[in-house]
Amino acid sequence: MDRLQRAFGPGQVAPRTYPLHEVARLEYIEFTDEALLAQIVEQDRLALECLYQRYSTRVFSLSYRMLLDQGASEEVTQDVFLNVWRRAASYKPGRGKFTTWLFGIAHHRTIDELRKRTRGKQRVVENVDDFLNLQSADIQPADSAVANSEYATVRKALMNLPDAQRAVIEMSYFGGFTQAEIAVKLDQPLGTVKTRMRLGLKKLRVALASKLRTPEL
Amino acid sequence: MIDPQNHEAISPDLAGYSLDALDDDARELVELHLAGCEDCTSELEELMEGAANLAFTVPTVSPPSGLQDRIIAVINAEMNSSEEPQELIETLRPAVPTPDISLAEPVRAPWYANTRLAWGVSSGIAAAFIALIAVAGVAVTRLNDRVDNLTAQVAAQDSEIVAFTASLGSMEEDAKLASSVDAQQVSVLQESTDTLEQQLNDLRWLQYVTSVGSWSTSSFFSGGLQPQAAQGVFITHSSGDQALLMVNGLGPAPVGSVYQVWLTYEGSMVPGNTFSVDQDGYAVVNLDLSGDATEYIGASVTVEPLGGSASPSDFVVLIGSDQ
Repeated sequence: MDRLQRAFGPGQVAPRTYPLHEVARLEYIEFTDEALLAQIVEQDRLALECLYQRYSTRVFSLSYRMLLDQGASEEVTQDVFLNVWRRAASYKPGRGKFTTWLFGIAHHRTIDELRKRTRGKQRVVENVDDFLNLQSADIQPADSAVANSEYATVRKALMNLPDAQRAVIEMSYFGGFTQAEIAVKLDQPLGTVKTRMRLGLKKLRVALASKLRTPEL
Repeated sequence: MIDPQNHEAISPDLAGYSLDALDDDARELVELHLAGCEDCTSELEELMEGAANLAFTVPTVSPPSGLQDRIIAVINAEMNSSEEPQELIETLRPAVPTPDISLAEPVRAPWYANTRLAWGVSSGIAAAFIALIAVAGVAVTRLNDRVDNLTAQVAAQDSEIVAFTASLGSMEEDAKLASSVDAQQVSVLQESTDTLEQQLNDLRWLQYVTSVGSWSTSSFFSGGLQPQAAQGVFITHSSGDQALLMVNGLGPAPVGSVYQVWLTYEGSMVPGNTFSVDQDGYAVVNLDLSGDATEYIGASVTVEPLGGSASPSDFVVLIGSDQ
């Protein structure tokens, strides 16, 4: 121990929440998603916390929208970010945006959970609008102007799709139905369902290519 | 059975694959096909991007506030269970990030390269010591109050310690003379005496620097990135080869990290001691100066990993210069 500090007494106190941690976090606000992911490859937990701050609401919302179960959605969200932590090195920047990779993980994990719950059960879809605007009294909407703006932008692009294309996309993405199941439910040939999905997704991508930005902390 | 190389048969399933809307057999076929088809791989990337947009069509709801902590706890547990104890310190380092500035846009110069260090060194400093700079402000008043208190403590304790030391010295002398005392007892007594002498040296040093007129304040620090009004006083000993840094208003350093003092010397940064602060954000750090104290033109405090660093991080909490 330092001589003078010894003379003064140890003067040590237990750590508490400190402003400096927030200062450190501020440093990462300017980092791109990809730069944060590079930090995570180096096992930087603060970088993961920053990505969590950026995207946890989106991941949780998606999962909750599909499962309508807060506990299961928490579990999915936890798994998704642990996956980001463990598999950060597998992300290839040249193969697409980080958000595409992240929401791919989130959706796949949620679909697994959804199909596990509905396996062997008959699932009924009366209307594709069943998948829209579901809310729960014990869930509080996130308060974010950025999120609301993105929601409006993407929702508009989705609603601009022909109904037939939008229906198959929403039934598969939010409802977890396979192409074959959708073909049966809509009484359409499987090939038609496949074509509508493909066209709808490509239109959605083109419509939103330059409109979405990385959300900020 | 469809051949995995049959492009025409499999490519229509790419959209279903991107939406997780294939059954297991169809998904497996697509994956086998993708391994050898660059066109489909490129198209899938586009479709995946389109699918990812759908996540933004969901009304947002906030996850529970404790979820982030639970995730970090799982990560901490995994890291702690998979590494050797001596690696834990390295593991803790990222908790207080030392950002790799190569990742930031634009690339930044070291923080100290832009710091105006106009710590004017007058001939008076070289001739004797820097005069005590009269500084206004609550922080400095508090620091000076502490110095006064220390002076009083020294005065109260010094006589007691001197008397006790004399007593110990007498005992040691007696012990050496006594034929029945073994070497171990002499060693213990010697150790006690050394400890007390060390304490006396500390106190004499304190006594010296707390005597107004024989110590100098050569820097007044102002808060850098620290949100609080952290401040400090840099005190040079009359010997010229030792100094004190007294700081006030600093929050505790983040877990796994310490504060570290840096002295600026001809444009380079010389690492000093690491330190922690008490509940008032107060600390006193002594510094051994190599060379002439007057050659140092500034001092700073940064946040560093445990054990300190050889070069300063970007997390500057105090910067000192003669403004």
